[in-house]
Amino acid sequence: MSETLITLAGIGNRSVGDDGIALYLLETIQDQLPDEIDVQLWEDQDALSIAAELMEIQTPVVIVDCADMGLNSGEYRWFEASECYLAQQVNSLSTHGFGFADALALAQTLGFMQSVFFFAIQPEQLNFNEHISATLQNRQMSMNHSLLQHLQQLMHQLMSQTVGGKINV
Amino acid sequence: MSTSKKNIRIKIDHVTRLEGHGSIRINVEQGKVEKLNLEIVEANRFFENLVKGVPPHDVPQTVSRICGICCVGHQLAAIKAVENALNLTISPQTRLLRVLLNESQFLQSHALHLYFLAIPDYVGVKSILPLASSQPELIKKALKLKKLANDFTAVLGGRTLHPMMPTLVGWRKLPDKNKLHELLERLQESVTDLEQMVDFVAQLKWPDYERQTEYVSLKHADEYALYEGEIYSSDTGKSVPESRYREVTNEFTVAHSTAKWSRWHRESYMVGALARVNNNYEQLYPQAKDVANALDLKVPCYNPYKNNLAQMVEIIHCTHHCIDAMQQLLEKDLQMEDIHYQSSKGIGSSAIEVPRGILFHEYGFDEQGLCNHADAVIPTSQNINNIEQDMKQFVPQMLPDMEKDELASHMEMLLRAYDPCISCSVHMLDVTFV
Repeated sequence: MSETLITLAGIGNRSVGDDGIALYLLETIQDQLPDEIDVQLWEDQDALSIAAELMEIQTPVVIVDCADMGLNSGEYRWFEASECYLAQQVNSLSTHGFGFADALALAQTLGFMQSVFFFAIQPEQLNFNEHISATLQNRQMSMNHSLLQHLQQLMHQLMSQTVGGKINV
Repeated sequence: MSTSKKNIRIKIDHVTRLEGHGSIRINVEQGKVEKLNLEIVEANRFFENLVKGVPPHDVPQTVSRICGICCVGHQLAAIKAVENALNLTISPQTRLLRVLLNESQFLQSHALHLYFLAIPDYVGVKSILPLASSQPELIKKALKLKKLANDFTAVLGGRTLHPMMPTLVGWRKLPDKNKLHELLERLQESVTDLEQMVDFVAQLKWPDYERQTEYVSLKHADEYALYEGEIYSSDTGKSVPESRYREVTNEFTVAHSTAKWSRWHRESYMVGALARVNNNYEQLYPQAKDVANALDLKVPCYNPYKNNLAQMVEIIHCTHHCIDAMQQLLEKDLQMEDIHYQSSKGIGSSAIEVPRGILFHEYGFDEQGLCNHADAVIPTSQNINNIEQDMKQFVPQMLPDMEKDELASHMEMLLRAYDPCISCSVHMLDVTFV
């Protein structure tokens, strides 16, 4: 049985339009991934539950999610957590306004030390419906390809850093 | 200058760390409270209209969406009400599964509210993050409990939010027995963590304000009533059947709230953890009674801030009860049951305790078996009147000793102590189906 090198987590809600894209993406590429990548779908999870999930992860983690990055709809980016500012809602904290940034901050405050990478997609619409917008659907093949490439690169990077069977990240 | 002679205007838009949006307005002139309103400003949500024309088995799935925190409660209340409307009965196995599912939500909701939303108030910080910095081991335990409760709901109901497995007269797919065994082990292991979580709560200081009110909860002859029972009033010491819930709620409107208010035998009443502990203390598990003692929670307790202590007591009660119930469930092989049912014309209501108090649902069905009547009265809409009455009594008591900011903080804490779910409380009661 292979040792898990990467946790790949998709966050989303299929009832909120493009917010479900991460779940569809991961379901599509899941069979093409090596055993060293543990795929988790964090569907409809509130942020505290995500913080709890993060606390159990012992590998670098790749988060696939929708994000407002000021890009055109359907554009996507791969980046590390250290490359961006994640806006928190700490002073108006309710479970309605508690997002991934707060979940990550909470987990890190509690000792979560793993590297975090993002594959983020700019949504077109986040309305209450069960459809991915045509713009994102048209780019899904390209997203799949890009995500697989980035994962492959990260795998190589991590394997090259493995010393004595342990990951040294 | 004495605060009691000052003019104070407090306007909090919106109170944080609760579900939904509510505002507090207080106007003190020359030490006298001229105006005090708890304003509920959420828009109406019209859920009772959404189920118009829906077949019986789809009603629970639809109304589950009223709330992302109490989805299990709304679902179970609807299932029970629909079954009552159609004269359907359930097996002991289904009842036990529902009891466990309901209590899984108590564990996750109480853990969320107590440790992540309420306790920051009592250690003087604005959010969970500074508390996590100063008390990492405590918050790790609270997070672990929340995850355990989430997984508990998912194993029984198929998923954490809006479970798909429970339905009319049974379960669409039974929980995996191995996963139930794992859950049982995790519940048993959580007891040690809970002891440490109780120790932390025990050393917190609680505002010392009391107002006796009417405490309303379910009451059951054989158990601490959460899944079913009659509606009990501490004022009369008597119960009425769930079908007469409108005699209890007596909903009415006020200009400053989009949520309806309730009253029964006096100007307001309280539902929720403190009401349940006050009314049903003797039926708590011994371990929960021990915790009530350790927390110095003596019944009847008239301090609404101590609703948070009652939540801690219920976490202990539900954990031990779930361990016993799970063992009982695992003693026998679960049997898949026939979930077909005969639809008919009828009307039925139900009452169930959810973390924030009693939840009432009622549904009617026409000759074609389609829903033609719906009503839901949620705990927060029953509590809002009582919260405002508390504020009206406490503000004059607090004025001599508190400056404006401290007073405002205590009002926010009071509102939070009730664990309000304001989004759920807003709905239109009067529904006319054409």
